[in-house]
Amino acid sequence: MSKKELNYSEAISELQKILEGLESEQIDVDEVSLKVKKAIELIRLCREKIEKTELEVKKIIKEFEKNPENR
Amino acid sequence: MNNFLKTEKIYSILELNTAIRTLIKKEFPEYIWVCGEIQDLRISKDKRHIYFNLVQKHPEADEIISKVNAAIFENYRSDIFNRLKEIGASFELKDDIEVKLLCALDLYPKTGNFSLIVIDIDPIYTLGKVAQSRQRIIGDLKKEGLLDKNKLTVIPAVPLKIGLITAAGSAAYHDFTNELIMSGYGFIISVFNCHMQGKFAEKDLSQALDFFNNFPDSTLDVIVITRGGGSTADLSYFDNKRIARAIALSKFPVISAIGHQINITISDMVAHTFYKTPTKAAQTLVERVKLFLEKLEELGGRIREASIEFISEEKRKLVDITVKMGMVSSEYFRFHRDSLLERKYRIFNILDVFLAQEKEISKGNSAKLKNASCRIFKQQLERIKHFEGKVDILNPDNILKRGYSITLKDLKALKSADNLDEGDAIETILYNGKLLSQVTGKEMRSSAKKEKTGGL
Repeated sequence: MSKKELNYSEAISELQKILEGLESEQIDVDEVSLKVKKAIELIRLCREKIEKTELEVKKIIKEFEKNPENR
Repeated sequence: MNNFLKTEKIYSILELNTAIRTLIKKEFPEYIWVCGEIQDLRISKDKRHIYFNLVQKHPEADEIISKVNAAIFENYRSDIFNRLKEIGASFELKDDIEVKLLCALDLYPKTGNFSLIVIDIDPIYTLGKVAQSRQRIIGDLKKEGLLDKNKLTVIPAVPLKIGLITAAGSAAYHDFTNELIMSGYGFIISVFNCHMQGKFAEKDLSQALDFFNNFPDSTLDVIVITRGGGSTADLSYFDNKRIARAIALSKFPVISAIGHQINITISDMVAHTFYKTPTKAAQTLVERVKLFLEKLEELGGRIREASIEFISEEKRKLVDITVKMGMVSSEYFRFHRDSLLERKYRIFNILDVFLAQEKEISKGNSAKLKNASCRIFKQQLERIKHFEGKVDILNPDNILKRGYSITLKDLKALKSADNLDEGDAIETILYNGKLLSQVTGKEMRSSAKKEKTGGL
């Protein structure tokens, strides 16, 4: 896991991979908790990204609606 | 031989001639009328007497069949000439004219020649003969088509190059040339000096006409034959067939002005034009040049007027066009200004409509965008929630929370009791805390052996 922040789609695919790994049942308990921890972290990251992006988009649209001539 | 002799007398030549003279005088004691044609007329060296031959020609051929010497002596000469003058005869005594003469016959013992001594003339007869011969010449010329031949030539509009046939230095010469010089026009006069009467006239005039007819076409405009007004008798030289032919056949127009009052000579008849005096002929030429110049002047004036008229007409047209142009262009500009304004308004209208539409569209678009983005976020959130749910389910903590536990042997989760033996040490993970135990017994599910587990 690198220090660099993952972008959304990378985060999603990582999450997917972890879930697949957890569902495979061939997994160590210790590993499970690590993986789950990681998954929760990724979910939070994704949620943050979504919320942040949604806010930004809403702001842009609102600005655009205020001055459509400025396009 | 003696039988034939009239007399025993032996004649000397003089005796003979004298005897014959006596015979002639006896035979012709009075004067007699003799008709014949004059030939070889000459004047004695002392200019007192006139000698000529009187000949009879063959009625058809031009051949002398009989000839006699004739003389007009000084003492009769003036009488004869006065008689001719009195009746205004248009001839004079010269070669080729037929005359009726009152003569005495004589023989000169010195020469043995017998002669007619002319003492009077019958002018009426001669006139008739002259008229007859004149008519014959005219008839011949007519037959040959020569009477009007020279009239077919054309006197140029500006007849400046003149071939003058006259006696140089004569009054006629001066009258004619002075008139031309006084006009101030650029006449070029070539003069052929001629005898205009007398026996050389025929030859001279023929030569003169030949001479000028050898000029190249463009170097001569007209030939003028002129002489002063002599006696009417002198005019008979111009009733000459040879001269008439030369005039008729001239390639240049021939103007004749030979100074007569009443009669027209044959030369006049065959010439292109004839005038009474040299002055008149010259005036006509001058007049012709003048007329041409006047016509030129008039044409020039007409051209000038026409061009002035043309130019002012064109100017008028130009002004009209300019006015029309002004009207049309102001009309044009008015029209175009109007249409420009109209277009401007139309463009503004279109723009307004367009902008309104675009506003609507962009409003719609932003709504769509809002919806789309909402949907995307919702989807993504759903997805995350789904993942969350799964993670929740998979999270062992949540299972442990409900009372389940995980048993490990040698750090490996146990899913079967098979490989456990009594006394084996096992670890149990609970939601909260761990247990360390030893297997005291085991029991298999259904067919499997039951294992008893003893807690520590």
